[in-house]
Amino acid sequence: MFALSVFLLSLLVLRLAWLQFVRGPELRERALAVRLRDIPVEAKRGTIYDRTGRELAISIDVDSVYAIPSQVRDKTATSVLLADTLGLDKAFVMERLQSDQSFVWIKRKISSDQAAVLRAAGVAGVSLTQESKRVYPNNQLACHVLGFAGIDSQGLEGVEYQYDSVLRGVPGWISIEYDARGQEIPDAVHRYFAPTDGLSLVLTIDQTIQYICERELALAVANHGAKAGSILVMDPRNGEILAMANYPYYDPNQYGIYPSEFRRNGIVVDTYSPGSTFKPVVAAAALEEHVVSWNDTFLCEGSVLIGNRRIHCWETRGHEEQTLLQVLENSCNVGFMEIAARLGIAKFYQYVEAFGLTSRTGVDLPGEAKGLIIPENKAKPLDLAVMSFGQSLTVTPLQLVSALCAIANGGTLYQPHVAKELRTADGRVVERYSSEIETSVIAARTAAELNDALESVVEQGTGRRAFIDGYQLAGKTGTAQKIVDGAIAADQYVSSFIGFGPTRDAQVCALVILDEPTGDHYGGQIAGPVFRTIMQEIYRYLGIPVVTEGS
Amino acid sequence: MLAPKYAPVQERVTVRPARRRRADAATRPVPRRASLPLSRRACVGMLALIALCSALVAYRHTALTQMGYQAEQLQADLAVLQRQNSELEVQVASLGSLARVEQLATTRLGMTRATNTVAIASLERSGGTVVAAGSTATLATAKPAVVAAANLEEQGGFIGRLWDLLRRLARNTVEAARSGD
Repeated sequence: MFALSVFLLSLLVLRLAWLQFVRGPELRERALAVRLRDIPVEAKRGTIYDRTGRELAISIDVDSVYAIPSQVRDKTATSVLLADTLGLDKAFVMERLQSDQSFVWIKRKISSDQAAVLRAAGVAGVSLTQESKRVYPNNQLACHVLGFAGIDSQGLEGVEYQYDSVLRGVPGWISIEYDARGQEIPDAVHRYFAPTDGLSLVLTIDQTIQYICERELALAVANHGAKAGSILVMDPRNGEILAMANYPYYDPNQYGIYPSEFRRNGIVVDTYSPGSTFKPVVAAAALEEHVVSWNDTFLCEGSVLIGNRRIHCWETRGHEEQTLLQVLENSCNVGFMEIAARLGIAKFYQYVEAFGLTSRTGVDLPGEAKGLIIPENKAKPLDLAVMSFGQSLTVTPLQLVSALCAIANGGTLYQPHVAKELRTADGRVVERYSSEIETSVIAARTAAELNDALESVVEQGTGRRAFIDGYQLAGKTGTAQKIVDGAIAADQYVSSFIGFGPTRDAQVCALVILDEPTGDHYGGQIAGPVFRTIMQEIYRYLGIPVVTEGS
Repeated sequence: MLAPKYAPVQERVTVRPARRRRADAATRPVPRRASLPLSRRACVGMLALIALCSALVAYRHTALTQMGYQAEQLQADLAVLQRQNSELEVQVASLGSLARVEQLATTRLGMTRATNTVAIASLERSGGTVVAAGSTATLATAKPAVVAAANLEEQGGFIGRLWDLLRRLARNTVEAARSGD
């Protein structure tokens, strides 16, 4: 009997020792966790600046109201006060206060006046905590690049989404110890885990250039009754995106009230038939492969028969005999069909790929699409002929501008990007971003020759309406018929103009697209003047010298 | 007349004999006050020390509590000021937006959009004769020092503007015919 007692007692002692010394720390933590309640403390989201240091997105401190239902004494009176002050439904507030949860939000991110009223009232069980609210001070400006952040300060679109992990920071919390009745224990455990604020992001976007583009785009869409429009401006020397505008715009401060299609960044996520703006790529490939020379002549009789299909030039009367330069100036479809035929399917596809038109550019924006092209092994001479003037293939506006930048800068393809730097709150640079992919596509000499030809397109070709004396602009017009339900739509066009300047030292490359304009629909007629206006203002703003005769 | 419920309390007067202190003082030796034992004195000292320490602790505690309240109040004030600062930052950024600047420039300051080409004309006096020297430049290259810049489009007069209009119409017609692709 004694031995049994000793044995049982020993077991008990061992069990106690086990609980005390082996599992003690863990059990202590678990017990504490039951008594502790965490109040979240949100980290302040990093600021987004444009390349000149002007704020595009900032975070401000605001109050949010929460309740600990077990601590609310008079729930009816409290619900009335909260509902009246915060403009909420009384039943909704009452339901929240009667919740079984230990912590409930009443309303987040309230105004300072509402916070002052609640602070003065000092209601038991209802408290205020500081949160961060995202504000876009320029409203719609650069909305498609910036995107927006949600109620929990989480990035949902644009760079807010793409760089969410660095902008967001690390949230903190306050742990407070409560007794069994749910009341705060005086002088008990209070742990404060400070949040770490997010880093600030400096974009390559220039607020002024962005503003010029958005203003002119809205005007052009209104003047031509277009359905939508886009303008993309890039620095050909390094792939930095200076402006990216898609019309219609939306205000990211109130993103919820706009239809989802307004928030679509078409420049990155949508593809379209580039039409004649694709021709510089074909010309570059042909010149690089020496299948054409500037002295060659091409005969355009208005159409050409390929297989059993007759394909027309936009000028149905024909351009007669032309040099290569004139083919470019006139944007002659027949001439380009001949050039593509000399190039051949394999080389054509090789250069389309080299210019990055079959793959994503890798831009640091979410949801990037890539162009569609008939697979090389299925391409026929007819497909090649049609693709030579930018039909039967699609690209994103971003892909096309990247490709033209490669021609403008002497042959190097850069990865486009919108992020320039990451900084701490005190301005210290943590990381710098630059183009990761830098590949040489064509020789500098080929690029220089083609640039001169594209300048001639603006001076005396189809791009005449983009001409400004002394600005040395090079460019190409484009008018593509839209494909609707698998067939070419008779009266739906995408009018565009792509160009850069100054020709010999390209600093700015821009693409203007007007979707489904009414009335005039040729790119040279309606997109060209928009290009001219924005380049004129960008030249002035950047202080690019203008060369005039005798100057 | 009703009798009083309680009988009045009778005053008790005690007559004590006068003390004969003077006589006692003359005959008796002055007694020496017995000093407190050491342990008792230590005890009293200890009590006094404890009382002093307690008072000090209580004082410090009160002071700390008061400072704690002050700190809390200051923190609350700081939070309010930070919020106000944030709101002002937003206002500054919004007021400096380019859309607003352009609107104010055109509506309140009477500014207009820059035109493309201006004529820069300067009058040079050469041997008593005024010679007009002209050149064209864009606004981007025009220097403020040569602000004798005059927009020819605005100075051309009626005939000049009519001629310019006709010229533009003709040019647009030609371009419209050429700009298809």
